[in-house]
Amino acid sequence: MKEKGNSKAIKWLLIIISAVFLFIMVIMPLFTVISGALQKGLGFYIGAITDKYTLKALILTIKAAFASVIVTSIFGLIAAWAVTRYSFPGKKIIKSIIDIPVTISPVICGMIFLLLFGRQGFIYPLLDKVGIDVIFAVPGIIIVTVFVTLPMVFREIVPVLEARGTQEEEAAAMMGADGWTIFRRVTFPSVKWPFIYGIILSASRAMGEFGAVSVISGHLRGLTNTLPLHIEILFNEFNTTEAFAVSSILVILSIALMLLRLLLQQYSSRKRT
Amino acid sequence: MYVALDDVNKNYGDYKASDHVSFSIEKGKLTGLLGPSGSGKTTILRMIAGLETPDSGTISIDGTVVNDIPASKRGIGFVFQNYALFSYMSVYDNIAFGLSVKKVPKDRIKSRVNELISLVGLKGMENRYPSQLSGGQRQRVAFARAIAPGPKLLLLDEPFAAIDAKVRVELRTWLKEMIEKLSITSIFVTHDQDEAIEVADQIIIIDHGRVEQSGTPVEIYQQPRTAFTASFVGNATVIPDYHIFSHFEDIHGANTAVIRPEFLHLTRAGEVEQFPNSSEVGTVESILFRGSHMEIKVWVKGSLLTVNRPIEESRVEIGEKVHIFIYQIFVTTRDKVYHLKNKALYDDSVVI
Amino acid sequence: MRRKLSLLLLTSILMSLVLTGCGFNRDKDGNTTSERVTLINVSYDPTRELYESYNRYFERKWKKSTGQSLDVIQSHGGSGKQALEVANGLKADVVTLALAYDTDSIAKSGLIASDWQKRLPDNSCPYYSTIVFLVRKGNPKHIRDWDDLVRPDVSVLTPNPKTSGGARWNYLAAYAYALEKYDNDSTKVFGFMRDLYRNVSVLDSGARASTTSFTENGQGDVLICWENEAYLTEKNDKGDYQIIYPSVSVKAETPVSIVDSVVKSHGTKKIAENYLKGLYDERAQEICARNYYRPSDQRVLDKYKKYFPTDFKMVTIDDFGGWEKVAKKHFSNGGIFDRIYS
Repeated sequence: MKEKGNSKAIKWLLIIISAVFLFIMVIMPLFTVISGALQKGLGFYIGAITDKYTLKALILTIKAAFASVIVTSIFGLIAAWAVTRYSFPGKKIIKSIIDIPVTISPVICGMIFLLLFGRQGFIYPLLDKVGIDVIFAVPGIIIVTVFVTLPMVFREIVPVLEARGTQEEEAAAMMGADGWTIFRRVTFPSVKWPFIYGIILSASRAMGEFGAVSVISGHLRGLTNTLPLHIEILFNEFNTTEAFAVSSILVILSIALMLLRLLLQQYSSRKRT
Repeated sequence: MYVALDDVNKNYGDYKASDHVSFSIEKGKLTGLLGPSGSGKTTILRMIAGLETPDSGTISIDGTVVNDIPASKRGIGFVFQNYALFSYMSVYDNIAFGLSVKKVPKDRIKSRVNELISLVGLKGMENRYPSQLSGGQRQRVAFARAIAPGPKLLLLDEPFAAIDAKVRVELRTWLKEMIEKLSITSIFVTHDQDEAIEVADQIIIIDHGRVEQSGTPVEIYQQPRTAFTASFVGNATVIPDYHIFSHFEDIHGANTAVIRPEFLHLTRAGEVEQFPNSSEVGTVESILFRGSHMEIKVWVKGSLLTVNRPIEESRVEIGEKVHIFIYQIFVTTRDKVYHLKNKALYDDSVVI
Repeated sequence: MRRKLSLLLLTSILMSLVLTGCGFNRDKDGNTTSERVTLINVSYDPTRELYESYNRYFERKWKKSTGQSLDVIQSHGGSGKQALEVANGLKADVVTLALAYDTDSIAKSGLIASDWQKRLPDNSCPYYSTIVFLVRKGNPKHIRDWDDLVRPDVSVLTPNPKTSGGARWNYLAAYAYALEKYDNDSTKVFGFMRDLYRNVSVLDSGARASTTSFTENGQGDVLICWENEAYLTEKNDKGDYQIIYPSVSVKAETPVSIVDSVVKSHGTKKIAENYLKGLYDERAQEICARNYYRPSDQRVLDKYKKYFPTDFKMVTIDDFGGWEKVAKKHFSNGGIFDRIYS
């Protein structure tokens, strides 16, 4: 009898500790953002989020997130397939290299691109001739954002592909299916959810990316400021309430992504039954 | 010959998975590749399927060499050990897959799939998903899926390994009936000799990547031609030197022998014995109830032999001294097996 | 059929990209004749409000006189960092930085002509500033001049002159005072500067950061800062702060220039030159004054003399021998500042 009581106590203790952590580290900060944003009233809040620089920053952020999602999902699928379904020399090295963009500090990522595409680099004169600006311009922001999120879909689907093995695909091949049909009807459905999760991760990360973008942005107002950069500028200019107001946009976007994923999961399980 | 392998070799680095493998299989027959784990039987099966490529040698199906034909184009049905059902498709879609890939019109797919679902006895389960089926049901779906496109050859890789004992026996019988009904040439891989003996028309024994023997189940069982076959099939006890038993002819250069329970007869003191002067004395070591008979282990001249005793006869006791008559033994050298009978069986004189 | 269409679409997109880069719409001088023009102004931190107002004024003026719709895009940041970025490829049509040294570094990289400062009046400074003290309301520590900043009971905030342009002006203002006080005795001057920087409680990397430390974090008794920053801070937090003018300060010249190579490739030379010239207009000079920048136009300066006292000594960078000399002597590795602050 006493043992049962003890394990119940432990169960609730663990739950309470987790809840307290969640509250302090997630709920309270979120609440602070909202209350900080509304400090000067609803009218001020709406003015801040519809300000033309905010909207331009929002559009740029969405562009970067979109590009990131597209590139990282295509790359992720192709690379994951290659790495789990074929054997070739250097496979292990490639798997480790792919992880580099998420393991090194974003600031260093930015600096790498600065070196590569800056005026001191060798690529610059070639691009300049064609009239293409990479760093301190929108293309640079997109490229850098894609870079820091590159492995995210890959990392989510590789473990699943490896765990599932190749038997289902072999079965499909035996029945005459070609590579694309196998991928479409057998492989992809098995990694659909990790894939979607990877997309959400890369979209969230892309929207929130600060360090790498800050290094190569040039901070051109209304042109090369993403939402996080714009928030920093507002904050540095003592426009704290506006900073919080614009932050709330990011918070809302993240929550929206989370909800989207939940909805998709609901829909899919309902479809099954 | 419908399927023929000619001097096929396959190496993984230094490891010889297939070593000069040659055999042939008749059309319409159900053949079992039987051998211990790691013997290379699955490798052979996968090479026939096209999922692996031989390093040398040819594989022919229906007269055509298929070495360079990709797996998807060989027209072979494959049933995997762990079913490999498409977990994100329903039973119906699983079975229909091969046909949909061939772009068969929807109504024809429907009639064929329904026909197969009735055939394998899964009516009503069309919309279930593999995770909602039992092992036996999944295997039946795998079977239906493999034959749906009408393949000319059916390959099964340890089809019952992942299924529990009782269901296994039922499925075994069911599979043999199915294959006979469809009269499709089939090859299956197993390490379970009971299964091979019960189901196959022809058995090929594989060990260490080599073909040990090929023949009917009766031939394999009663006329083993290699030491491995003799010791692998049946409940074999290996005797390092058979000369300890006095009633067998000496074969020069051969010492190892294989004895099966059915080669022995146990007589208790006081029971009537047919060849009292030619039997050995032994001490009972252990007794095991096997349902239909008693399995008794007896120490005879330093070897622990296994003998069966009908359940109706009186029970022996551990430590009891009994007589063991050895009808026959298989004396084995590397690649020859001598089928020796007890000399007493030749003597006409019967000592009273 | 679909393939052909998408190929055609791709080619036309590529063509239009290349064409717009080819400058098909230029006049005989190479200036762009498009209806919509963009001008990029890379500036230092505090000028945001100034250029917001000036850009509105100039964009309207330009549209009226030429019909072109102009959009000026601003970038603000630490002056040195901005200069580095321009040298590294940030395509600024004009740079409006905190000290000529930073603009010179861009010139050294080949993007601006070396005689840039002579191209506009007053050393290319349509506006300039000076260095003042910002203290707490009521001036509790009774800070009147530089001498008070070396008192043991006074804590000073000023940024790092190795990373901040504004901080270099701060340093030079203090140095100028010490030179005068100790009659150029370098040992005594060194001692004074050392005592001053010993009192610095936080050496932030930029002027904005120092201001934040002083106002938001409540650190230090006195902040050495730009005059315009001081007025802005005072305005934002009415009554919490006071501005004190020391007896000696610097004329912090903040020159402007076009970036020759960029305006050439963008076709914006004419508009960029006019943009900078426009800063000398009377209306523009008033905008500067209202944003607490000292206008170069004496009449406008007099009009706003309430904000711009002149009753103290203002030393210029030329009195120090120019930026090259100053940078080498004071701010290089192992220079005077390193020895003061080690």
